[in-house]
Amino acid sequence: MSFFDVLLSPFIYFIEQVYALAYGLTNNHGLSIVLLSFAVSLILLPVFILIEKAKKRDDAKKQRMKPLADEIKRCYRGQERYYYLKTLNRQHGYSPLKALLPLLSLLLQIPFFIAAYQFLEGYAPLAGQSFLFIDDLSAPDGLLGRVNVLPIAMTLVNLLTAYFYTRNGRTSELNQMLVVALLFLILLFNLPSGLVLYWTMNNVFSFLRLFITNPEVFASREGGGGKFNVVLLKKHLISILPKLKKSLVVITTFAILFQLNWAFHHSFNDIVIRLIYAFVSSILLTLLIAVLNLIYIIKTPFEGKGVKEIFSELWLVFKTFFFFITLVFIVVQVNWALNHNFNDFIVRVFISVVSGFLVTVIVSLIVLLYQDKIIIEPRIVKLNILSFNRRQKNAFWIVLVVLSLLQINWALHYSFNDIIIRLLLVFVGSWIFLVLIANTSNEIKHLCKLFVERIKSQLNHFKFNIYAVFLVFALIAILFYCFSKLNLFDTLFSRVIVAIVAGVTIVPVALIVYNIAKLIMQFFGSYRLKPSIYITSLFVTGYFYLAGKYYFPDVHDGLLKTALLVLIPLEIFNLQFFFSLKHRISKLLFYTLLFPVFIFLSAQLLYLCAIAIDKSFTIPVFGQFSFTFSNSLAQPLETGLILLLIILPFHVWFSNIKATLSTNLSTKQNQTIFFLSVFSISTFIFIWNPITVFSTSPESFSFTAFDLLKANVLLLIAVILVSYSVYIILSWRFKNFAVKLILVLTVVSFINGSLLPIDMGTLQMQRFSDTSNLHAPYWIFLVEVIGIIAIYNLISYLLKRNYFKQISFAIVILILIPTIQGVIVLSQLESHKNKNINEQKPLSSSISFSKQEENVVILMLDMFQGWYLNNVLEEMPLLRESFEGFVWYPNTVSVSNFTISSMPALIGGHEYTPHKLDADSTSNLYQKMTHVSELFRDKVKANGFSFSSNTIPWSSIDKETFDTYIPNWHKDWDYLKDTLSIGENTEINYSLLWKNAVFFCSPMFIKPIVYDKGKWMNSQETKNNNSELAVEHNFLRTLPYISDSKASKASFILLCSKATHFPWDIVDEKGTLIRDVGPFVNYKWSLIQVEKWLQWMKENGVYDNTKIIIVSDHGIRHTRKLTFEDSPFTENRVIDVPLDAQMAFTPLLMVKDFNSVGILKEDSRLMSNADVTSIAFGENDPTKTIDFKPRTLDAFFISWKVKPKDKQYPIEAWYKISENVYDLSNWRLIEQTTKGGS
Amino acid sequence: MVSIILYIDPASTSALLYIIIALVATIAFSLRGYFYRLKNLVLGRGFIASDELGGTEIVFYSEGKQYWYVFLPIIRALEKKEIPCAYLTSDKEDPGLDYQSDLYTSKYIGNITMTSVYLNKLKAKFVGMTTPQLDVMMIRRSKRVQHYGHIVHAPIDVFTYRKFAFDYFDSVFCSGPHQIEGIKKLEEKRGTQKKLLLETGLTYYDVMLDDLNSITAVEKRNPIVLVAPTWKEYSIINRFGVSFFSSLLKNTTFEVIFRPHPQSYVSFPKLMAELNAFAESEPRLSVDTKPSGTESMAKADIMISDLSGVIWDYAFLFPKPVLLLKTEFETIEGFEGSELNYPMWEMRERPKLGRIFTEEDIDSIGAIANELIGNPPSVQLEKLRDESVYNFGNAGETAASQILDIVKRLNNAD
Repeated sequence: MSFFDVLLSPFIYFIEQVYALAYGLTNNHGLSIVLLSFAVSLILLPVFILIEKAKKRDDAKKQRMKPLADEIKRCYRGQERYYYLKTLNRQHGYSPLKALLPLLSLLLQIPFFIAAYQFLEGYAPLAGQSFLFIDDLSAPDGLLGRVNVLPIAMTLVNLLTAYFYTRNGRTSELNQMLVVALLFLILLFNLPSGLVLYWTMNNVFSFLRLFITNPEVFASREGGGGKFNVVLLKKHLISILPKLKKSLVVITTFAILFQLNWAFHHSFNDIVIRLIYAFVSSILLTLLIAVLNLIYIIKTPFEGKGVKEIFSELWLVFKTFFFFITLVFIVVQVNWALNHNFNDFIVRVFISVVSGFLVTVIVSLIVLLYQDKIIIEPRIVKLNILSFNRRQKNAFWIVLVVLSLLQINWALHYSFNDIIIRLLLVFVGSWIFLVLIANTSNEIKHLCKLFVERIKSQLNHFKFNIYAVFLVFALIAILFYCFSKLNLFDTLFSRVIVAIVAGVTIVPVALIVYNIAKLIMQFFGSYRLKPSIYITSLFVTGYFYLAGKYYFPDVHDGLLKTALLVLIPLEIFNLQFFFSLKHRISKLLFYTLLFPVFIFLSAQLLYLCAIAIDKSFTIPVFGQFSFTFSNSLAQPLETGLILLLIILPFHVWFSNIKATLSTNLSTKQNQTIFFLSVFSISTFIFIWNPITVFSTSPESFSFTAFDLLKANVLLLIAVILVSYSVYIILSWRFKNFAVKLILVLTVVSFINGSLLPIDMGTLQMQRFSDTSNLHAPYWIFLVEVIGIIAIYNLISYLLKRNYFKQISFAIVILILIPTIQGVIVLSQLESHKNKNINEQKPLSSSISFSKQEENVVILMLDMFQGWYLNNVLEEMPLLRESFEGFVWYPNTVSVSNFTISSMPALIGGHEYTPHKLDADSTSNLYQKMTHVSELFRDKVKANGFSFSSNTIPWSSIDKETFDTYIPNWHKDWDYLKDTLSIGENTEINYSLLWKNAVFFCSPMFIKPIVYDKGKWMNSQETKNNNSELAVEHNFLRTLPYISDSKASKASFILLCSKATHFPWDIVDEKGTLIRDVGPFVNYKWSLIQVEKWLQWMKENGVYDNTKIIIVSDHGIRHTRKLTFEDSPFTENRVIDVPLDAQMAFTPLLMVKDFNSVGILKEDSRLMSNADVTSIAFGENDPTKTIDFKPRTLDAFFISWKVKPKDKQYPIEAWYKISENVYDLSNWRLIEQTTKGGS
Repeated sequence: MVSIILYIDPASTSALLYIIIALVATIAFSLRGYFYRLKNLVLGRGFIASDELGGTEIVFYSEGKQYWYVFLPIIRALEKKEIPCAYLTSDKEDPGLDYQSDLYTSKYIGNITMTSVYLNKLKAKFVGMTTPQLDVMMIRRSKRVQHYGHIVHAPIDVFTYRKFAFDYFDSVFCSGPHQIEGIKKLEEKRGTQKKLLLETGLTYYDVMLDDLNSITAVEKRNPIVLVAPTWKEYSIINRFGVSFFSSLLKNTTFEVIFRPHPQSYVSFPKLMAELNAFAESEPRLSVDTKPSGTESMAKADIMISDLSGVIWDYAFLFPKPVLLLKTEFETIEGFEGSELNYPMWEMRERPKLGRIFTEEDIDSIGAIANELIGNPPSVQLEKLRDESVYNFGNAGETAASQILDIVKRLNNAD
């Protein structure tokens, strides 16, 4: 890691985290990039506001100082000038140093930029991901062949920003901004579109930021002064318009001729598209000329001026352009040289400068011509050579001689056959050349006139204006193209008919739609939406959209439909409002916005069409790209919401929404309430709730309450500081709104988190054991949205009535309740503290086998589905050989379906089944489990073994009593991090605990987003950190490395691994945690890890003298989302056994006895995972019974409501199973209760 | 190593560039400050401790010997009141170094660069100086000095002072009401701290009046004309050269004393050589290059000048008429006057000194001078002097009591 990397790492971490969070929220890489960009912009926003303020202040000061400063600069030099300027600064309170202050904080953004670049540049998951019209976020978009659209869009946004930003008289910054915009266009042009998207969005946000930092630039200006005088520009534009029209015609003609020429040579296949391209590109070219003419307005006339004078005047106008274009050329060259070589760099740069000059000359010529600064005298076309002047004649002769010589030269080499014709041609050619040279200007002018006249006269025959004609042609072309793609109309005849029909119908349809839309607008326009209703409907739409889109487990159409129902009228009001903006905001802004508004509106209509016909359809455009309109309800909602968001700033700006946001409190009171609320929510989320959850089962966590506090207090402070600083930068009215919002949040989180917490069962390996409550019915959402609105209104009422004291008092109480609760919990945890700290100290760092004595290994693989082994072996037949000497018992029954209920029997035997444990009603399940594990330990020791174990689940056995305690990770193993590509140890359960708190505090519609189906807003792939998620997997991987054969005493090793537990992740060879691979892949992976360990044993000569039992405590429990092929269960059932039970009761059991040899065998005798102790100690070992008596085994189905603090197991069903577990006719239901968990 | 491309969007870039520019500018700006400071330190050959004045409360600083007469009357007046004071000078030849008194210490503190180092560490209650631009140019305010007073040394308006001349003084010992008016206007405009503006007068007039009394009147036959132009482009000699003197001597009996500005020899050596040659050939024309012009002024019956500052001394002290070439005042850009939008006192009051002549009057300049000598506007001159100069002949005493008032107030405040 270089110094630079170290500096960057926190920013990269931030970017990664934000991206992970965004991806967790959206599950879409494109949107995540947008959100990332938004987050970075948001974080930097306060800094920008500060800077902009400082800048404005300094600008004003500078402006005031300017006359005097100029005077001083004119009059004095050197030291004296310096001292005077210094004094001037001093008198105006302007200090270059002071200006630095906000700058220091601004420098912060550079690392963000680099970090984002580093993160996104080679970010593998982006490969092949599409977003909107981008096919692959890891490659340039290439929407128009080799031309990338996104960088162009980015540049347009930049130019827009530059235009507005410099509207305020900051013209000096315009050039600088233009250079930067162009630089980025070049730099980013061929970079992955994901990166460009990030940057584009950054630019969009920086444009939006202008609304906050420089809102004045958007105001409509009535013929104001300044550089950008709209009236003047308009006048100027009108003056050059005729010429522009002419050149459009000329360029179009040439482009069309060129295309036709090409087509004659090659093919007429896509001539329509080509002609449209030709037309569009000539329009673009003409626009470029127009823009150039608008930028460079040459005011001075040149009549009667010397060449030198004219040149110097023109230089003043065009020097920026020259430097600009030359810079661009040079940058391109540098770029090229960086990528290739610097060999002829000097020459290249020189050429760049020359071509920059040439381009400048051409541009200035164009501008001069268009602005009538070079007057071309109408002369009679001279055709006669004699009528040319001397110089022209000379040129003619020179051309003639040179060309003739060339011909003769050619003839000398090849043949003289047609030399006369050739020479004649040369003569005619040079004559034409000369005539052309002499008359080009005239000719072109003449041509233009002719063409314009002709087109005009033709147009006059039709009553349509040119735009309608163009529109119709374009639409026809597109239709042609679409239909040709669909192969519906193969014949030219039908094409023509379609074209005519389409052409004829489109215009009236468009007219009708336009008029209807106008009518609707007028109707809605007569009613002005009250701001409160506006906000409420916006909220309701957003609410139902989020609730529907992220509904658990899948999208909820009813909720989305509700959102749509509210959205559409709201949208119509908004559009009406938008059109009313036309005269209130700057024209340019309005038309710039009109475009996206139109795009989103039409996209939405198309989506609605797709929904109406209930079928998704694709519209290809020019064969280059296509838009797919699916019939999902979410998309029209999204487009509509975007539309509303585009218009929202203007709503806030213009309408009296602001007034409804205000409260009647003083600034100080607002601040107090805001602070109290933030404090209340964040302490609950970061401190009190995690501690409470922690206290329910401190043994389950590898850290202490103190560690948790340490980790979360930092977050708490950060959150409070950030929200507070955001609050500070808000304007007065938005401060009021923020106070209301935070109060609503406080109340809602209090209700959800403390008053009516949702019942989700227990949290196991990041998943809730029961998600049925998350799967809430529609009415819950309805109640909730009404509730939230009611709370908002109530709070508004209270604030208006100035119930400051009461509100603050209520919040203080909300703070005190969890605080007291948390402190009590903490004080109770004190007793655990010492023990926990001891547990952090492992007794030894390795698993010791004895070479001489006989060792026993029990490897408990949590939730390993027994009969999956069949499939695994089929795929990896070699495993049969690796698991040498093993016997697999597929016909094994599990005691129970939860670890907490089967583990006692697994290590205690059949005497410790849930049913029998329930007999003791004095101690809780925890204590019972601890007791059994203590008995087990003692038995191991009594049998002369030394006892090694890692964690025994649900047991608080004192690990110091083990002979060897093997932790999940030990610092002695850090050297393995390189070998196994294991990253730093990170504790993600800190964050899980606060995220869990957020989950509980959130309203219903947010909960699924936070839970994210168990991913907790973490991204799919985690870097190779040895986190809580990966540490179990890494433990399996380390087994061969942390084992030795040095023990003198017989060793008994009990290892329990959760690596095979739901949600089935794996850690690959590179140390990367790959999530949600499914049980099958996970089991394969686990067995390979075990195989490696077995290999180690073989190599170290401890395989034969070791008895190995691989067992699982139960099978798969969450069957809802899994599909099972080749289920081994027979269907002839007597009783109805739920799939959950079938799966859970068929665990894995594999046994290798001492000195057992041969490939893996199967034994179908009925076994139980409660037999493990007997096998391990060789007491009544059922595997060794030669005369195996048929037996009946107990299986207890425990409710998900089981809690370790309960005294008894909530047994839902008690089965007795005999002979073959896979034959459901062998299952007998002894008892079925609806007994809940106490 | 991954290549890193900086990411900046235009708006933020502009902010960024703004930062970078400001950063560079600041660094450059401050580095320049350090450069000058370093340069001054090097040239000043190190740093000198300056506590050697033995706790004298009142200190005067003079940048050159020409200001000795400004301080002398004040020092004498303080002596009379038995108040000790110290005198620091940057000029080795300052006569103040030779002045002897029990209540007076003087010290040469090195050239101007050394001076700035010395003065920056000075400890005193009151420091009076004729050097303007305190805390603007190299002489900074010392933290251990409680009060800085600027002692005006010419009857002129503030217009022709360089920028920020008075801004960081605590008080200004003004010569006349026009200065008080100008300084107040500047204070208002710049929002600088209000200074104590004292009605003091011109202290060196006290000395010059004494000198005049000692000069014995010489009997003369012919009227004596003193020609004292400035050295700049628009001066009499630059515009008319030898022809001016020949015109003046033609048809008159004048004895002409030409007293050129010393700078003229530096800036226009060719012209000066020409004029000297002419003077040698002309017995009635003499060139006076003595350091003090008092003798010539006392002798002369009339002065002919253009924009030289000496005209006021001549008109106020003697008081004899002045013949002035009509001159458009040069631009005051870069001087205090550029921020003041009313006519400056000098230009306003010039005509009252005698008569203004133009280019066309050159041929008859002798006649005009003769006429003016015949009817000197003495009463008018005395009136103007009383209006424009406070405490004529008694400025030293006034200044001393004003200083004592200030010190007393400072002591009370302590």
